[in-house]
Amino acid sequence: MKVIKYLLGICFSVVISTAAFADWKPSGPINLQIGFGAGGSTDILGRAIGKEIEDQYGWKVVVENKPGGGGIAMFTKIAVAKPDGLKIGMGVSMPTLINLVMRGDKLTFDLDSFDYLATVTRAQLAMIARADAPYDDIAGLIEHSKGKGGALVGFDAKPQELVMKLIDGKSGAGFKLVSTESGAEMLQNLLGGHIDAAFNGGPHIQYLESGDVKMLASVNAGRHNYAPDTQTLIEQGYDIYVDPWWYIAAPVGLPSDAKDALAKAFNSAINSENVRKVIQNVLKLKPNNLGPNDTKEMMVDGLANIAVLFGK
Amino acid sequence: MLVNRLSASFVIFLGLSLVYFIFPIEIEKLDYGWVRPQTLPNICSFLLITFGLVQFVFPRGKVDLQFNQILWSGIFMLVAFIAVFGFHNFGFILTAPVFSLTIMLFIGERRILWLLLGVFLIPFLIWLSVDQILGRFLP
Amino acid sequence: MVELEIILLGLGDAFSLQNFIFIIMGVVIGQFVGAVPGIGPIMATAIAIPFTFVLDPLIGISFLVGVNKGGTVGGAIPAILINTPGTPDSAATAIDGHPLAKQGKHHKATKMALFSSVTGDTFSDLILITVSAPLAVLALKMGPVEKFALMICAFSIISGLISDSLIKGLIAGVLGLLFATVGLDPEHGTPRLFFGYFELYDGLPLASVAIGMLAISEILKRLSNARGKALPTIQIPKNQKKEDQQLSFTEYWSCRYTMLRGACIGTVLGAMPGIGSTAAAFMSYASAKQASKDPSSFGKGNLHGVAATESANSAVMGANLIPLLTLGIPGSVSAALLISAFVIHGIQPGPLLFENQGRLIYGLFGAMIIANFANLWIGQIGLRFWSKVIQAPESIIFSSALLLCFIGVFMATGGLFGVTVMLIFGIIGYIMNIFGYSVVIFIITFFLGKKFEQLLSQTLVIIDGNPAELINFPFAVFLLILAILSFWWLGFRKQ
Repeated sequence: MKVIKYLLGICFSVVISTAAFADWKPSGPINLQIGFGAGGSTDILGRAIGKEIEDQYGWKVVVENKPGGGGIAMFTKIAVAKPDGLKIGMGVSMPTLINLVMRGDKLTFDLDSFDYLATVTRAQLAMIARADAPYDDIAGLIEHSKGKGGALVGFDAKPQELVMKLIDGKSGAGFKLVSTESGAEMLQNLLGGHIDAAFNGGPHIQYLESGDVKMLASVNAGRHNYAPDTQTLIEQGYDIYVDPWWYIAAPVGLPSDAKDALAKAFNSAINSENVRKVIQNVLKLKPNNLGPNDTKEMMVDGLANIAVLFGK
Repeated sequence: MLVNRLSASFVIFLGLSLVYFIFPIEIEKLDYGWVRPQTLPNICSFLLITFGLVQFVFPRGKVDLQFNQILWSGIFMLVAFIAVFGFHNFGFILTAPVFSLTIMLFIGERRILWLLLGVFLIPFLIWLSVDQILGRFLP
Repeated sequence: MVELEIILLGLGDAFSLQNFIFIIMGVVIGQFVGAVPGIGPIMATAIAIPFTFVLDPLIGISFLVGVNKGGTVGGAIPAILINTPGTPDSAATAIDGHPLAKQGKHHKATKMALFSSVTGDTFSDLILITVSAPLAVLALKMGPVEKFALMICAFSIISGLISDSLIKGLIAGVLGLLFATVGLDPEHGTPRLFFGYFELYDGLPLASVAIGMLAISEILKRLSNARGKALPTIQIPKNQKKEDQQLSFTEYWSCRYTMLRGACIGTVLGAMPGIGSTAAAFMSYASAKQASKDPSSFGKGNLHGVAATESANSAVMGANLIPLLTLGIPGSVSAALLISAFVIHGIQPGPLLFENQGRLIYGLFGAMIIANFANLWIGQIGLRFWSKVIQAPESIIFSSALLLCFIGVFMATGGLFGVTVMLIFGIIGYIMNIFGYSVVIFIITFFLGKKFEQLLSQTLVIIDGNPAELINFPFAVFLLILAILSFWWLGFRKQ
């Protein structure tokens, strides 16, 4: 009798838990907030994912742009939102981590303020130059820079500036760093011959194919899938890398059933055929969802890496 | 003349208080690069002080001071700020009709048909198109 | 070179019934949201993009192009009728359009806006279709130094708009520049003047400032003046002559040079990413005033003022597609939104686009021309609708306009924070109006300020802070001399 009761109990609890798992449904429309303005790659990815969840699960997902400080404005609000699974934020790891390192005392959140749900993929950042430039790698660029009294290098984000300063400090190349607004602007200046080298995270790939641009280095920890022959900065002797991830997080304290259901929903959306196609079209990348636990780990490791990069 | 001097002294005051009180707190000064965070703000406040002084000494230009209009604009502004408070706490559906009604009554609209149109139909149309058709949030 | 067969196939796609319907739908939506104060074509495009996921690429993009083109036409309507421009690029339209409306000639003004807008748009579309590739290469040659010089040039031409008091105009301009410095600084990315609000990291929200200064301050004034009168918003004089209610071909034709100049300014600025349609509109307006035999009639209801502005800001839209299609570089927010619509469908604008997607591109060109005609046609019907709406009492027009500004800015900035900022700038604009400081000059320098600071920084890095280095940039020097000349000439003529 006892055994049967025990078994029944187990069955029951299993039934209850799976029922609970399958039963978690958002109590209203899910608000997926994008930490960047409309029209950028984060916006495109977020909207594609939101739509896919709607189609797959029948939940209503409202995607909103909340630009400001590379996602800081949005995550500040998300951190204090009610953890009911209805307010979710999507951003890029780099700006969040940099702000935590540089002015963490002024921010009202830290890494523990969130329950992490997923990553979408990792961005690939390259150093590029015009195809007719007389150098093919970082060493060549340094030589060229010394020769002409300072090569002009375009960047559009803090870590890129620091990477160049670090290389400059080691080699004495005397780079002159030109601050720009976007990858597209750098590409335009590069193609027009106004700068000697630049960073780029996607728009350059078609120019590699057309033969107008060449790649000097991968700035990530590993080489890029579309240019397997180009070495990383680490391989070229500079122990530094930048790994920006797109990630999705909710306010901490999400009920575990909600967290599981959401993580599952995001996972199946990110890996769906439609989103896969969008990621391929926009970024020439494949989806890469680390899952809730590894996303958190990525952020923690990333914070340490950034602290080293900024010398803090 | 006097009014122009008045606005000129405000401009000078603004320039000075920016330089001495606001910039030191609100701008992290950096000491490298060509255009530093403080460069353009400082130039702007310097120009404000200079132009303000010129305007103070040689006051010129038209002014359009109508106290009755300013008073009522202030009241409408107050209503608008209260409406923001209302949107935040009670939401669009409750606040919008009250807000429209207040404004319309203040202007002196008493015809019931127009009032109904402005108080119910317009907010309803906004709600219909934003919330229902576009699926966006309203406050 | 694309083969003729492909061009014809593409054009054939454009003329399909389905494409036709979607273009017209886009234009209708665009004109409507453009005309509603507070909501502009940018937001309409952003909202519409997810709907185009499921459409065929050509149809989806044609639809968005329709929304954009309709939006520029629609934007002029509230500017003329109630003096509250929904977007800053139609702010200059209000300067002459609204005085015309006050004289009861709103039909004339809105028709002029519609016709000159379509004229400018068609001009830049034809440039895009015929010579986009060489133009794009030319635009690439404009580096940071040249763009900086161009911006100085734009400032100096626009300074011709300062009328009443030079010093007050300058103060307004400096204030605009000052407010543009809020947020991350462009060279080092250090946050400044954000007073603890992270929403201000990227600067003051553009929509809040523009609508606050241009629309809210005007609505406030009109509300207080309207008290107790229960008047229709626009009064038509009883014995108005028939020709005041319509636009004759002679009047349209008399503006041909103004429109051509506007279309050229719009096309040049549109082909160069980053300067934008607001600057183009004001530059065209200022140069029309400068070229006029009777500059003092500007601001009092001169049709040339409307024609200059609308032809220029509409020409920017078509020309924006030049760098977008040939180089994959967006020149404005709406162009960036169009790029995202392309890439979602797996089409990468850029050097390989014409080779890989020739049929689609010529389909798009066909669609643009169709959209221009649709604009003209829908516009005619729309104007009749709006002139009926505007007969309603001021109480309902301005209370609804205020509500729409709230909702528009709420949606554009993603929260009530943006609405509060809008109201604060409404007060600032109102006070500036009272004391005679030009709000228009403020808006221009505010909109160009961020880019100005960044170009200044880039220029100084490139020339190493040494003005003598400018000798290597002859075109920039030419532009700077032009700037000085035009500033001197404007100042000289005024004395």
